[in-house]
Amino acid sequence: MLQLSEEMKIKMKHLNEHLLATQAEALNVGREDLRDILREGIGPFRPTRTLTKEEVGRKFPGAILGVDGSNNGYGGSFPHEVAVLQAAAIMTTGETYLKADVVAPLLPEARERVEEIARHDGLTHEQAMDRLVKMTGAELEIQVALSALEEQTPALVLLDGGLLRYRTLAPSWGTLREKVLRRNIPIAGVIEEIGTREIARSVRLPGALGELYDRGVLYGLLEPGEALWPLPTLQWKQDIYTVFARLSHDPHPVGIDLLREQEARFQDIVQIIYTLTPSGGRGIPLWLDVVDERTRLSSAAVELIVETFIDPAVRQKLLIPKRDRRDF
Amino acid sequence: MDIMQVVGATTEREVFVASRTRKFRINEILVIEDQDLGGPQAEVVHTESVNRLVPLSSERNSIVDEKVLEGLRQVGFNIDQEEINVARLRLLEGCPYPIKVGSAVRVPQFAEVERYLVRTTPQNGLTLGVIEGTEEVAAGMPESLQGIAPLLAGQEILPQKGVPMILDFKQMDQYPHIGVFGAPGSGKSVALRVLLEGLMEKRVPGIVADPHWEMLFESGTPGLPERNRTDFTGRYEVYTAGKDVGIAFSDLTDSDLTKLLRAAGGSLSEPMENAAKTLHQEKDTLAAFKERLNLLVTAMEQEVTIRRKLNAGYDDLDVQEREKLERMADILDTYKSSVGHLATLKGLQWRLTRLEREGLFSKDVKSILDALKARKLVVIRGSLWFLQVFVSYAIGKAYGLRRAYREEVQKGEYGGRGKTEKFPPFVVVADEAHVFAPKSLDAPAKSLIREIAQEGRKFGVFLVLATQRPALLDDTTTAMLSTKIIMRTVRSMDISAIREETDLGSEETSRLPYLASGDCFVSSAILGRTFAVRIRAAKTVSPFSQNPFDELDAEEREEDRQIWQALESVLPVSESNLMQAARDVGQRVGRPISNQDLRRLLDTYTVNGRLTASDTMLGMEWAFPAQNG
Repeated sequence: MLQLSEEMKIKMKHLNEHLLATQAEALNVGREDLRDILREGIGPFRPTRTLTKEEVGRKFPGAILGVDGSNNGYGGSFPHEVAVLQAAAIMTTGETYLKADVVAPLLPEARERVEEIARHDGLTHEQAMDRLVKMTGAELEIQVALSALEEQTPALVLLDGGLLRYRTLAPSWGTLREKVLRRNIPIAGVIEEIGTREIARSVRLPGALGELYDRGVLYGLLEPGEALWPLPTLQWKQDIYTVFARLSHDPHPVGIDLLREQEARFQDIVQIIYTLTPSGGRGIPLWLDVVDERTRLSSAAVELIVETFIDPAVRQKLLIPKRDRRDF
Repeated sequence: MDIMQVVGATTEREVFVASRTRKFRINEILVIEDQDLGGPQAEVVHTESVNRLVPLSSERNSIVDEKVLEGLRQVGFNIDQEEINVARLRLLEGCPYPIKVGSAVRVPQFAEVERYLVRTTPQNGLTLGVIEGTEEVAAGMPESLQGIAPLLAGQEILPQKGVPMILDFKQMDQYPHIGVFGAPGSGKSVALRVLLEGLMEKRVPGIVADPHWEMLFESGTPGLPERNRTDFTGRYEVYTAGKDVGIAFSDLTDSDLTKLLRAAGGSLSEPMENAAKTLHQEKDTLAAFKERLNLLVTAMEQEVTIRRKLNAGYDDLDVQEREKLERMADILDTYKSSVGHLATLKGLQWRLTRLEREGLFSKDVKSILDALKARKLVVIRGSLWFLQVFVSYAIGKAYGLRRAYREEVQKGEYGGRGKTEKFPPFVVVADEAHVFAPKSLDAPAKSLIREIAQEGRKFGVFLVLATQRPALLDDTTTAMLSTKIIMRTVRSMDISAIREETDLGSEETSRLPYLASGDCFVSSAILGRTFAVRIRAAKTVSPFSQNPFDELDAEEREEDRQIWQALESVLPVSESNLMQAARDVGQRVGRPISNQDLRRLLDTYTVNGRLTASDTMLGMEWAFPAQNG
């Protein structure tokens, strides 16, 4: 049976009280008041309209390219681990581009890179490994998108996740950016979990609301289909512009990252994303879910891959963590 | 080319097969290309199709909006193509070890599955219908198997699609008797008809108990192709029990008679049975038996008077009177002690009269026996209670003859002194069989049906029993039915009876309540496995195929037409000559029409626009609407 210590109870209660105290209701800030503050300091709330079939055909003639990546690890702690990565770019017409990579610090070149990152950024090996996997993943997604763009001219490129991640982690981001701008292909990144804290930094929010991240501030604040369009003067991510939008009945909004150079298409892009998002879902365009489903590397899949290709002797010796051998 | 593949965990008996593009059909046979196991064949027992992107609606997943699907279709993605078809297959023959996962699966050639599907030729067997799930395999089927089993969909005849199900009825010698089970509307009657048509085509003699008066084979099924038609004229005879055929009273044994009397009254008390047996004598004619019974009743009613008159001496009685009194006294002495009360005898009288009134004793079964000898099917109709009595007698008679003949042949004595006549093998067919041989109740025909079930095979006498309540059919009889045709069954009691009595698995029994009319499982020792079959269109239709409610409408339309015609000749009609018009119309339609009736009709026709009404000096006037142009 689970034994709860007194200390655990006290600490959890404290956390709960703190979280409750930061809520707008607790601070007597009405939803309309909060919207007024944001309308003033951040930008306008605008309803989004879905596109008709004909409008989709006219504004986005052709297919949509969805890009997503997935990674999963196998093994124990650094360096006795393997990260398996996969990225896919899939056209709605079916053309599929896949890329895969493996990051294994037991290989000298990977270990050298980990050590280099650790030295350069002052990180532990574990943190550096983590970062290397993220960089490899982001780069893989950009690479696979580039491969797709060599053969295809999509009407829209949809990336799963914010564009900022690619800009900071993927060396080839610049190439992709140039390419889509030159060929006039609109591009957008859909952020499922908004992790930024820009709003509270840009306007004064009453009381403890100022502590909240964007996700907490915007929860339940938008109507379905409504979007918060930050003023162009708020240059949070320089060349990347973020719209917050509630694309389904889920009260959590998503973020849509766009390239400022494509400002003329912003409206269209948000509209088609809204059109392609199931209203009862969690607010992600269905096509990204489809791509995600086809890309995803489950733990079971990774286990299968490792166990198929890595000799059992080495696997036992170098990769299987002790904790997997716990009896209960 | 559709790709099908073995997926998931397999066993040596079952596998799952998935395909993106091909839908699986229930009961189709597929070949699993596991070369180590020699490409085993398996039957689809369960199918499903899933679309990962259209999940069951739940808190996390929701039905995807049409706007999303339409938008995606516009950019080239069709969600329907994300469907995956999955089937569970059961191997036709067990394998020593499990099937290899990932094995490719394909549709077999006809030659590969022929031995499972076709056991005999259409010439030698009864073509019952089409085996389900064989549409693709049938492509390579020889000419002789094609176009022999057209199907019925509603009122429309469809060409045969699939491999025909042919029952090798000659194997009934080894595996006797057929049961047809199914709820009302399941297609049981058509299945029975198909069987009977087959038997007539093969000229197998038979006796059919037809309580529904529907087994006529005169009218061909509309729309049936010429090659599938058969004229059954001369291959069967229809008799109404009590009218065309009956029982020769002098042939009755004591137990025959008690059975008849019991059936006539629903039950027979023990004293009544005793009395009947005591009074009945071998070779009695109906008149003799009746006279004896009536005399005894009179004697018992007047016993005191009779005794007193006889005691008083004979002097004042004439001869006739004296003889009568003496006979009554005799009969009293002989029977009174063993027949019990007067009420018992009156009960017998009443029952005997009822049988006599049905005409039961006015004819005999000779014409039935002659028809059997001429290799015909004999359909006997009558009310259900009366059929039980009569059929039991008639079948018993035929069975006795056949049995005597066979026994003599077996003993090698046949033909010697010509004591026994030759009698052919035959089938006994009964609809509502649970009435003829009910479980845990007695019925006139029960012991005979049970005897034929157990011993008929020896003598070449076979049962075809149809019922909507297999759970109510005598167990011993059910157990002897080697072939069972099972149609839609809804009652759980019947389903569990079927589960116990057949090799139907849980997949099949769970489908029973949902089978379409005409769909069935054929579970037969002759075939060695259970087949899902769609019964073919019968070649002939029942005289009652018109819906009784349609009949109502049709009659009304006819009447309407007559009245309209009559009206046409008297129009225009005004209020002043309404009476004359009513008389004319009444004469034309052949029944009196009152003024009010006519007025109501005219109003009705005016409302629905067939007539116009106008106010004139003579009151209202009804006429045809003015023709435009």
